[in-house]
Amino acid sequence: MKTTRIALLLSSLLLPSALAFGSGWDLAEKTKLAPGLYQVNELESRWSTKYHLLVDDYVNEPGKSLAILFEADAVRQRRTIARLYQIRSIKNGSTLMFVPLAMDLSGNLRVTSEGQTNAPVIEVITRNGDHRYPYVLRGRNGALQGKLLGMRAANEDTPRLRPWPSSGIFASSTDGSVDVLVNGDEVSISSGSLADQTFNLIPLNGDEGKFAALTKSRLDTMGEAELADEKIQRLATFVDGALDRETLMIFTPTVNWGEFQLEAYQLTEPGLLEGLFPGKRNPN
Amino acid sequence: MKTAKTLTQVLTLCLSLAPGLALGAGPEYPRSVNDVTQSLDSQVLSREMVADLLNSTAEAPAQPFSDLERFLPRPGQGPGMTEERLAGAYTAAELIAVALEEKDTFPFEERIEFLKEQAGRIIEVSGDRPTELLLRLTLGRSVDVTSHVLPIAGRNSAYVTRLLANFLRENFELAAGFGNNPMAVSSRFKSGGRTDTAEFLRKVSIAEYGRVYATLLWRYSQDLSSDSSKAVLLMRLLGYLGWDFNADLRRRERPIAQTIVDIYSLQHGELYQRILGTMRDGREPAQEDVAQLRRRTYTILERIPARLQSLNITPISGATF
Repeated sequence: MKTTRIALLLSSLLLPSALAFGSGWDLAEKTKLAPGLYQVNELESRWSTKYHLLVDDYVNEPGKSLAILFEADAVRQRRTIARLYQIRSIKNGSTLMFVPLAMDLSGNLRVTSEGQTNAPVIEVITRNGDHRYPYVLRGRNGALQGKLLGMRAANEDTPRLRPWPSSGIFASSTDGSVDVLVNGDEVSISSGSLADQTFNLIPLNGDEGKFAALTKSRLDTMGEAELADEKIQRLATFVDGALDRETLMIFTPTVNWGEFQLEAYQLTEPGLLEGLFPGKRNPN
Repeated sequence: MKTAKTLTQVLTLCLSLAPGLALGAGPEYPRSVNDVTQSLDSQVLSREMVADLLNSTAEAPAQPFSDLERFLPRPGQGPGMTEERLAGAYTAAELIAVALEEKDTFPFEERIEFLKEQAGRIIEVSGDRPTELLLRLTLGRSVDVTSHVLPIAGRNSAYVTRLLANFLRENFELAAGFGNNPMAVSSRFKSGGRTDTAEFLRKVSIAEYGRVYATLLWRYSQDLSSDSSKAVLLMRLLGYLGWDFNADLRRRERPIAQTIVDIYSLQHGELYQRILGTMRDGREPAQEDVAQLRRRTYTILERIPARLQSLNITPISGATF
């Protein structure tokens, strides 16, 4: 009898707090994608991977992530089309929304869902249990052209995205000529042997951030300062792990809102770096 | 008749303004989130400001209740003492062009300080010219917004510095448009001859200016920064918009009064106060709350063009929403 009373008392004490949790005192963990590389494919297709999704945390707000959706052979093809997303949990944290990021005419990066009520976003449906695709990506408002895509974690090392090269300097070359040279916060993109475009690397969300914005810059030799433009021209990130070698991804906006041309540059082999910075050669 | 009465009130207020309201004599820049939220408090439309709209028997307040008053001509304000003014070498619009050219010789951090300093100088040079009222207003606000978003930038500092430099640039370009071409402000405004402030305010809709400035802030509030800075920017947008609509000479016309009431009820509603309270406690506002604030701000902005059109107010060219 006494035990029952105690149980009743306890339940009456606990009940209000239990109700409180259900009515907006949101302490439950929100749905979140762990950082890493994911394989994405059309549901009805075979096991081959068509796209990759790279996810990493967004430093400024713990509940959000950043993601890049790109073609699986982007590194081999060098120039492909990619999309960038901010991932945020919606509907009380029960589901995830991939919001496209787009560059506007003022040279700022915009979260498209904040300017449109019908932005083409991707919703993530999660399935519990052992499935070929635990996640299904579903396009809303015209995203993905109405296709459903299946997604699963790739069996690769977790990649790290950085706004800076891991060793301070980064170079990539094809056929002996240098395509990209990164030195500190300067990026030089070359065509042929001309270093004709220089950009300033500005971390998007702090030094611990994942992406960098590229703004046109020039060296004022008289003022002895590197001067950058305020408008963002391109975006960049350095991917370490998962993709064979450290890879620099440069995203240039295309005429389609929210679509980027992805140029992937892999770190040059040590022998080629020596070619870039040659030592004195013995004349004999 | 009603307009004439309001106009008299505007002018009476202009004459009674304290000289200490000039930009240079303004408060120090905020150093903490608390300062930022305090500054937002002063922007909310108070009951006294809109009493006549909420209760038809109440007297209309002496107009305007906004930062507009800082930029209206003041009694005894002769020509400024700056060298440019004495020599008459530069007009305000020319100084903006020079500042935009010179800014590129500074790195970002110095560029922001340079443009803020130039804004104060140009406002001084512009003095009391009625046709440059919107130029002064735009530059004054650019400094205000830049000073109130930067302190809460968090770990985004390098990026936000770039964003603010870009924001100042756009403000200067907008102000240059107002300075160079008063016709851009309204097709009904005839340039040439002497125009007094009353004339200017009759021809130019401050509400329409409010819409233009709100679209600028709206675009910047969609950037990839933190929720708290977005919330502050949206609240700033609402504050300015409320002030501008309430300072318009046609504020008692239903389409404008409706927007004032919309803003008033949002600012005094539970959602706005909850976000403000969270930030005041030093916490990041809930993502859902910021999304709701954005959606409701959008609804207000969305209705404005049709409302202004119904009053035959010509849109200022170049401002797209």
